[in-house]
Amino acid sequence: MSDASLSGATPAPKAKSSLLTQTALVRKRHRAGATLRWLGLAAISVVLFFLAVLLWSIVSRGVPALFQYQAQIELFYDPAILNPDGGDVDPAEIGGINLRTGFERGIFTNSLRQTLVEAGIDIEGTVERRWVAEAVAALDAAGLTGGGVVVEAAGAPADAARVFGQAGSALRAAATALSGDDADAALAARDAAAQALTDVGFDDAAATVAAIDAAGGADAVAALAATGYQQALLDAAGALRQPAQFDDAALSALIYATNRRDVRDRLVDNPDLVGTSETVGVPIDIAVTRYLSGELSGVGTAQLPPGFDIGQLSLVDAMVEADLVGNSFRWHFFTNPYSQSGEIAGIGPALMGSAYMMLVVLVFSLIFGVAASIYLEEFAPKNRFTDFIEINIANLAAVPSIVFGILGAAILFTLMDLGFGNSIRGTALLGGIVLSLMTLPTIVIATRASLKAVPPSIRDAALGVGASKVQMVFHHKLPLAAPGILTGTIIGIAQALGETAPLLLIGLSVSTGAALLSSPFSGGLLEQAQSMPTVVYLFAQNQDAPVREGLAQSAILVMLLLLFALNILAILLRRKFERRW
Amino acid sequence: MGAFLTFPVVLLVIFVLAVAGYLLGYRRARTLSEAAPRSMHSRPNQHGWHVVFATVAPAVLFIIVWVFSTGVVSNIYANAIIPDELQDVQVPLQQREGLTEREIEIREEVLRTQFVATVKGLAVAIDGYIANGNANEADIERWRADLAPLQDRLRADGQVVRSSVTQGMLTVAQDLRRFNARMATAGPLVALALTVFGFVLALRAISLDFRARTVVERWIVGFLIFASTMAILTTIAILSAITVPSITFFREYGFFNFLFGMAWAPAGDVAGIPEGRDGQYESVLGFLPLIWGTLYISLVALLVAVPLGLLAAVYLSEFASKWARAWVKPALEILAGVPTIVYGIFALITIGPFLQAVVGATVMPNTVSVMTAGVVMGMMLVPFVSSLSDDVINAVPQAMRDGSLGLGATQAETVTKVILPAALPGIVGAVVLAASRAIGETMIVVLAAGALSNVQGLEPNPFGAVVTVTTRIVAVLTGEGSGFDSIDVLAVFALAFTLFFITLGLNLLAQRMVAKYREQYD
Repeated sequence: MSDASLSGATPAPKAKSSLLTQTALVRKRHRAGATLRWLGLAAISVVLFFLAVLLWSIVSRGVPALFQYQAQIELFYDPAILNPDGGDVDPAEIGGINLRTGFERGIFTNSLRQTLVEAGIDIEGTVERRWVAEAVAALDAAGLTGGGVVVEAAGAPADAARVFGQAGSALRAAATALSGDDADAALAARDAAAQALTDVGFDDAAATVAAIDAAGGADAVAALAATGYQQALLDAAGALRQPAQFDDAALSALIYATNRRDVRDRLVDNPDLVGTSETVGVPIDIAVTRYLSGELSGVGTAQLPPGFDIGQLSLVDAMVEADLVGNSFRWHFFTNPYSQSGEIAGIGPALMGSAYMMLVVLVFSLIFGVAASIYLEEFAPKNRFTDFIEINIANLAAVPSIVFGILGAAILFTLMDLGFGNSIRGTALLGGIVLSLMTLPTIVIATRASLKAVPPSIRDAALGVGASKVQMVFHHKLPLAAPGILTGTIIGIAQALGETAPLLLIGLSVSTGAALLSSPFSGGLLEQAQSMPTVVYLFAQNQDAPVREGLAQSAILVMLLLLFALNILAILLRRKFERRW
Repeated sequence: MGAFLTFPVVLLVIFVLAVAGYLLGYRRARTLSEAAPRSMHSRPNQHGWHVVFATVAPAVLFIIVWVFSTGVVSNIYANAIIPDELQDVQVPLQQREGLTEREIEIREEVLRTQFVATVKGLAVAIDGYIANGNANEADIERWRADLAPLQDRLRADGQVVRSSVTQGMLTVAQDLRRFNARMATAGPLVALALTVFGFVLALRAISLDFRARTVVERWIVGFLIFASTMAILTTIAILSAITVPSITFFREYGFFNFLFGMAWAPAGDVAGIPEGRDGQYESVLGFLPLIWGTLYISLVALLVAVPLGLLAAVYLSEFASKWARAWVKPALEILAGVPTIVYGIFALITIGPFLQAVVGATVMPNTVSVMTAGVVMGMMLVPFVSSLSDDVINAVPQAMRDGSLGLGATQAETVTKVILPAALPGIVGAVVLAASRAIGETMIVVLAAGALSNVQGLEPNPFGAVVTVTTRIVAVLTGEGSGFDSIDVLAVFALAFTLFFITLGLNLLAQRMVAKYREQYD
């Protein structure tokens, strides 16, 4: 290669390729290289996108679910409701079983009614207006204008319902007669229907019906049906009958009024409450919550919260307008036990149970893991027995967690058979032991790595000045390896924190953990416990969609935050204490 | 006396003696060494520790062994004292008709097991009743004449009495209670004696020549050895937990009937008693539909995880800038640290409905399906595959890269033609490990693969719901556990048995491949 060939002054016929001009082949090769690079980048983008979607789906559902719509109610502990005999109730009687059955619902309903009235809400009126509006809208949609006037003239909505119902029936009779063979009857029925419409006040509609050819047979029936009058009238009548159906049960259904234990507990704790009132936040029914959050529009049957009608929703609207309903943070989510009812479900015992289990894992697997690693790394002779232990540890690290669950179940059955009885099922102690056995290999591997990282000079120096082997290990190597061991242990514990399957198999799937809550410190390790991953599983199995999709994500959010906190702790410890030799 | 001397009390005594022993031993050794400077073999604190070990270790070891063996011994005793002619454990004459000798034997075995359980429950109930201060021993004997009041009294006190109490039951229960009471007194007594014995002996052993350090270190190394056998003990425990019921199942149901059965439909048969026609079990417990579901999902997962993980690893180790590596690697670690139940719920409520919206409800009737679980599981495995492959790729000697680049190959050609072929055994090892993970994965499939309890045949549709091995294990064993007497429960242990050996085989294979690959370049 000369300068000349590069400058191109003397074109060399053979020099098709150079550093500056690439041949087709080189370009192709480089293109292939770029493709591989782009593929790699695409793969990473796909994975990162998946991670983003995963985190977004948790945060976007979990954070709103941490807030709860609550009605501020002036709860009045009415003695008249508490006492089955109607007289005054003695505070000393509270806590006994002689309170009137269902008194909690009575207290809730009366208090709710009173609160609404005090806020200036006309309960029956609001419901009635909403249903009347519904009826008028149905009539208007079919071209039966002026329905509102009719309702007003009729007085009570039920009376208007009767009027519309009669007209509707007349139209139905006309439709039946028109499809029949008897021409005279058809004519009479058509005229009767038109007359009925006139009577109600729908003159235009009456004219339309009267114009239908009574001898038209099937065409006439179709023409009548096309007007939609009959359906609209019957719908309107149906809607107008609703206000009369509205009762205390329909009112109290709006709030989560079945939280009986709560009222009873309040009264038992403080019998002086009888006859007094206090303002409390009562959770709104979780189905109504979906309406309040805008998830369901409330228009059309499919958009109504299951089990509720528009009359009840109109009351909800009125309560929102009167500022009686607020969206507040669900503090009790962190203290309550799991419950089928999303309104009061929480993860309190799960947090505690997980903490207990982590404690067991920490003590058990740290002691045994570190001891096993020290033996294998420092004392064990190179023989078959040692090799066998090593193979076992390597395999245990890869055994599926469900198999550890089977082991846990077997331990459970054995212990139950050995006289521990049913009380051992689902305890934090048992869960902790099973998780420890799972975590042991992780900790052994981490500990051995950090023992290996301590330079041999430390060992030689200690042995050289006359330390025994045990002294060399415990006084010199172990303190130097401690940060690494600690980091490995925290990572192992973080793994154990998220394990679900083994815990399900030892009976945590059937416990709410409430027992743990009632005696948090006395018998924590030996109570029926709950744990974070299993409570997430329970939330995911709940029958209510808002619980499955909302609260489950909130619980996941809490669990992930704990995991991240543990991992960050591990990273910080590593940064602070890591020594390069 | 027996009532006050319990294990917690003994443990408290042990603790107090241990603390006192350390202080006493330390002081005694100190006095000795001060009297004769530089002539003592061990340091005072080593003498102190020796007393602690001698006080604590034998007694605690004894307590652990005792607590577990009393249960076993009590069971054996209960079984031994049941009179054979007792009506409770015999199949009534009118039911014996048409049964073979073996069937009667099996039924009596079941009756006996139930009887022992009931008697133990009754003994616990009476103990609780007396402990609550409702009666004394003499009362119980007096009420023997008429059993109904006893039963009602027990129940009124909140004690659990499962079936109605018979005379035979009460006799055996009382006998068992006396035996248990003796055991409960003897255990703590022996433990206490061991503690005091060790304490005194160790204190008396302190002398100038006593090699306390050597003894203490022997104790310590002994504990280290014991700790390192935990791994073996765990493996043995797992093996016995799954093997014993599995073998019973295989003997009862037939190994090949299980392995090649095309349907899974448990019907609640009791082990040992084929209830259906021709002495056959009504339960159909075939392995193929379940392993089909497992492998189908694993295949989908690997099809997602292997290309993505491998490409990501190649990119990160060969092309990525330092900056990109510093950000992408922790992100992958986050993905690897997310608990599997989180993936399961994500699959259930986000990926499932999304897939259903894409392919339509006719192809995918449910949101749970092979694809739902497979895709998410694949994503879960990406960091696993990529970090293992990363290690393998980084282990390829730099000289091979330099050689290839020096000959004029582009970077991509070096990767595809030199590094990947060289790293292939290691990468295959990583894929095998990932497959083992996918097969053993539980929570994702429990939530997102389908939850049928009966399956017939193999589901070919990748958008259809399937049942997997792990799903069945969870479904059966989380129900209120009915113990081992049902063939359906035993079958689940057989599932765990096959699962364990499949994953074990894959793991050993992968380890061998990776080891071989390492040897090649080390």
